[in-house]
Amino acid sequence: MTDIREINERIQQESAFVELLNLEVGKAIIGQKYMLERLLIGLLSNGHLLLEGVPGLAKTLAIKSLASAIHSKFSRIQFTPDLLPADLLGTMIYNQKKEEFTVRKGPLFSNFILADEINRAPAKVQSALLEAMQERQVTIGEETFHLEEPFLVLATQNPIEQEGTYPLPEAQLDRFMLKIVIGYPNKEEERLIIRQNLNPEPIKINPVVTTNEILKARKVVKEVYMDEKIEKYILDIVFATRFPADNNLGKLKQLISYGASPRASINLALASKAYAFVKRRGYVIPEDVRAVCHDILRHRIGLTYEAEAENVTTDEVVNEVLNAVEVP
Amino acid sequence: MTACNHFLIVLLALFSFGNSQLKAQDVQATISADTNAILIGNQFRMTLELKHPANVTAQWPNIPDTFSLMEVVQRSPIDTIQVASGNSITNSQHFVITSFDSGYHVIPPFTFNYKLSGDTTTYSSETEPLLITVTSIPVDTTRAIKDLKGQVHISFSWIELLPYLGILLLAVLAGFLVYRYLENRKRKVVAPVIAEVKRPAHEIALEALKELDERKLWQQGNYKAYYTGLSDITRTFIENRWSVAAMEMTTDEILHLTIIANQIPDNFTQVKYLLELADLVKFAKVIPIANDNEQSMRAAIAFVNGNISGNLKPEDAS
Repeated sequence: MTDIREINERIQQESAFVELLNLEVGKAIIGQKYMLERLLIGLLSNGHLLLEGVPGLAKTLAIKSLASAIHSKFSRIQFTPDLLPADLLGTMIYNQKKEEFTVRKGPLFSNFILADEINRAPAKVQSALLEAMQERQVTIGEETFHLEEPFLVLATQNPIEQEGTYPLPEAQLDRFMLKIVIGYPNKEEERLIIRQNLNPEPIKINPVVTTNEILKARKVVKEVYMDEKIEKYILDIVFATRFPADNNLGKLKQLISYGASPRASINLALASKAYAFVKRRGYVIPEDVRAVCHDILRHRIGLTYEAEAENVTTDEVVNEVLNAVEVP
Repeated sequence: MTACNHFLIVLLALFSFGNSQLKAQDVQATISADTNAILIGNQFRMTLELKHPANVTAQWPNIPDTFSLMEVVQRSPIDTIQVASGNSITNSQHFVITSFDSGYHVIPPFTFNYKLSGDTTTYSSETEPLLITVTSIPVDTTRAIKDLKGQVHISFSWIELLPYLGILLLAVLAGFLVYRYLENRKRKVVAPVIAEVKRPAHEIALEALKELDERKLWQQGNYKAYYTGLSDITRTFIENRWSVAAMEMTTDEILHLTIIANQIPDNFTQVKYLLELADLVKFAKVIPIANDNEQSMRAAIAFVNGNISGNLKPEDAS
């Protein structure tokens, strides 16, 4: 049993900061283990995240706390209907003294961007952000600036109050690696939240991880071993969303208008590796794939009008797929 | 000369007047009936006739459906007869008349208007009025008033019933044929199905484990295939034994199944050891030592033997 020991020992070493990070963020965030775990997956696999949940579930606080626990630059942008692309990217300002235009960088030039209520800004602003997310560079005037790594966009959106919003198109949703749906905390967690908020002493989050450690960990995540059987399992899941009838899922044919893209397969593999890393394991097991499957696929599967009429959600479709695809 | 001319004009006028008078008298309208007295409600025939020269254009009078408390029951089309010499034409129409009012009724004169050829003057000729007596049934008041007659009993006749009996017989026959048809169809659908009795899950599993052992996969260094086989046989056994989709479950999910978690500790330990080690070999390139391989086979056999049940009924295995 030498191989597994080697892999695990390396992961144990490299993933030590995960524990520290969890402890530090946990000072401010009570419960929401699921959300914090996914934030780490996004951070480690270099993927942007879309958080969806009703107001008051500590989405913003979690992201702020995570950014504070890492030595990094953090920007929060509140998306509003009158926001302009230049408000994100920056613009050229005329310098009278030097008699020339100089670049004033926008809030996008940070390591962690919190795009709060992304669906409240019009499409042109969303496009500017999503382009920067994809290309990891911004062009102002004639100059192109590469964004500093790690560059992670954490966007939030509210599932209620849809009036006056600009829902993200499917093509742009696909650029988010994970879509995380956050639920309410349980009673015990909420009791602790009340107590924590009534405490007169403010909670201070200390930086415990450097960006270099994160970048190093990203390399290790890519080295996490993924067997061919797991690759086949991922492909079976993704293909089952495209051709449900071939997987004895004929009933889903009427519910799915389009299946998950190849980007889903890539991200499912990457997120599974990151999940294994977070679990301090040097290899991917089917449990890892299943753990992140919903977050990867829920915004990449298109539902038909029939499905919407019957209130079928993409999560239910993913459940059906997971229950039908044989585990290696 | 002037006196002579005046005389000639008067003579010509007199001649022409006398000529037209003569032609007008040739047009003759008549009415006749086959009787002049009927019993109330009875009918009689009335004929209307117009004789006129060929050069006369006559207009037939409009005879209404009722007149003078009489009703026209039937009327024939106007019939035209030309005499052989061709100078005279007779038009006639026949009516069937009735009346439901007793008394003396007068059929009024009917007027025929006509014109002579080459003359724009309209002349007329009328029929004579006709008296018809309608009598009611005489009542003998000298005799006593009789009571109403009772219901007349009509004797039962099988002939009247025959059509109904025929319809009933046809309905019964049709019902019987439909019943026979449905019965035949049912018999065809419900063909005897020989239920396939599945072999007990443990028998299948033990046989597969024996076969896997005989293939000596791990001895040839094919650890992955060996542990894949062990894991698949164990999961298939769980699926067949408890009808749960174990092949679509991860190790963690299988170990959390109530039927597995509630196993006696020895059995649970065996299956946990086996599945977890199989995962390490399959997904983490672990190369187990010989003792682990033998122990895994023993664990699989022990787990299967610890969960032997009687023959599975087909419905249990589904």
